[in-house]
Amino acid sequence: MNEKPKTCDGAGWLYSDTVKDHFFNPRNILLDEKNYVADGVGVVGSPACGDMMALWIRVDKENGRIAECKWRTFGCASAIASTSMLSLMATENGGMTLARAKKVTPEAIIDRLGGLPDRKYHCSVLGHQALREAIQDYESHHASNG
Amino acid sequence: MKTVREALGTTTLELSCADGAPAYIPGQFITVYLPELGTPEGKAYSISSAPFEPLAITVSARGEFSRRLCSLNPGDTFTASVPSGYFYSESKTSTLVMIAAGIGIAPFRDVMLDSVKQNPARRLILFYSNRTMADIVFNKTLEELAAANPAVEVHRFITREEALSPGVSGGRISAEAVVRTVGDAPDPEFFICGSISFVRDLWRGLRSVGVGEDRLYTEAFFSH
Amino acid sequence: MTLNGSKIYGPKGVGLLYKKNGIKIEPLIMGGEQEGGLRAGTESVPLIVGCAEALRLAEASREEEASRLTGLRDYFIERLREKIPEAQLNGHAQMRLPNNAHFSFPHIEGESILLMLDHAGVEASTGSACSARDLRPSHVLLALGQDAELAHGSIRFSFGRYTTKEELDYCLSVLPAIVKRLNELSALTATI
Repeated sequence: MNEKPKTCDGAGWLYSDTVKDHFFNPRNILLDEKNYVADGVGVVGSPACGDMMALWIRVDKENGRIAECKWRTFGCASAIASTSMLSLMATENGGMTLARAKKVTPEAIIDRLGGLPDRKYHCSVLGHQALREAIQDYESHHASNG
Repeated sequence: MKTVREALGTTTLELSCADGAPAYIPGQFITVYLPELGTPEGKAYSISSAPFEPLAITVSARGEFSRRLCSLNPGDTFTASVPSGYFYSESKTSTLVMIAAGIGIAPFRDVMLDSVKQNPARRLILFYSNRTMADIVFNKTLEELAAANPAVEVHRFITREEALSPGVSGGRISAEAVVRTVGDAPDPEFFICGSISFVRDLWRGLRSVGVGEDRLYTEAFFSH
Repeated sequence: MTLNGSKIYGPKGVGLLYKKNGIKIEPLIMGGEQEGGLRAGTESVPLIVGCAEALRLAEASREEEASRLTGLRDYFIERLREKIPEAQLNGHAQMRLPNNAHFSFPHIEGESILLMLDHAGVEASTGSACSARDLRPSHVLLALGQDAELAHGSIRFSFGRYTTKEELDYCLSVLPAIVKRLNELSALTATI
């Protein structure tokens, strides 16, 4: 399912076609955040570090699945592609349950991207953290029943 | 702050906090800030102390940041964040399968100590890889844990030495060996901690032998 | 002082070392006694001849070329500031190399700008941490007093003997849209 990675893990510069696709055609950007009512928001990173992500989720209360996962990212191509891919993973096939979404690892995001250079690993870590924060934000306002 | 020399090049820093010890879940980390080194975002270090011990992190001196930390003296201070992170199970009953290389053992030390105290019957299976016997961090603690608790198993792997102690395997940890050893232990959850490539290899390996993505937790250490 | 042959349009793989008499240097490459014991290995005569000629040509055109490049540089800087008012020039506007225009773009990141420029056929470089091997922002920019956040959004445009005004105009035609696009994506422009 994944294209053959063209990245060199470690020293290489080259990005896979999937990474380029998610960088030039990112999915699920939230352009109009002022008018968006989210169920949970996660913000990670900081401008001084060169990486910051904001993630907004909407949860289907009936089945506990993530219906929408929108975002904005300040960062390099790996950061943008990682957030885009994560938003896709969270919402495809009817959307992940919150329990499943909590288990998305940086490795899973990188695997779907076809690989990232090792020094870009933290971009996917941030993505994973942003989603966890958004879910935690949601759960702290909607105590689960059992 | 107190320092304890562990295995080669590895130091445990016991910390006392100006605002009192923070609460944390074993598996979490703190972010340490040394602004003079030009990394404003700081670096994360897993907590290695159990909640009933003084707060501590265990650092392997690899890069500029970690070397600076390892060379601090008792009484020195630095700024750190409150504990955070999601490298822990939300279940109280699953079998915890922990796979570590080198300094990746750090979060598992407190996970295991805390688990044994809270729920001695919970199965803990650790796979721990190092280059040589001398590199094994917390070796004595691990031995004692396994000896005192029937629910705890520790499997050591040594990759670069020839003469091995009994019970120690030579070579790398393989996903097949992990799954075979875990056998039919109930509800296993797999936690992998080590370098980026170690974690990646084992994540892929375990996936390829059928472990579901929702049973895999990872924490990778970048070289600091 | 060293000079790299490839930077003066000479052959790659050859350079020049200018050293005071009496200074002792340890060789990096050892073996034979070539080059006065400073670098072992049979000297490549074609490369040396090429480098010398490149140096002669560069010196012959130096003043004229510096003037030409300065004109291009100032044109580029002025136009860019018109089209992207929020861009900040790094360093002094006049007291800078004739061939260098270095800008920081608020709220967006250098490597992502570079990739989009590359996609459009423009080559540049960045002082952003994300593109550095050790993930630290350019210490030069920080020493100039810039804060880390802005340093992450910096791009260096360098001009040379073959740079034309048409090329600069092309770059200026694609850059504003890139900056706009990345601002749209950026978390720093969001109200959170």
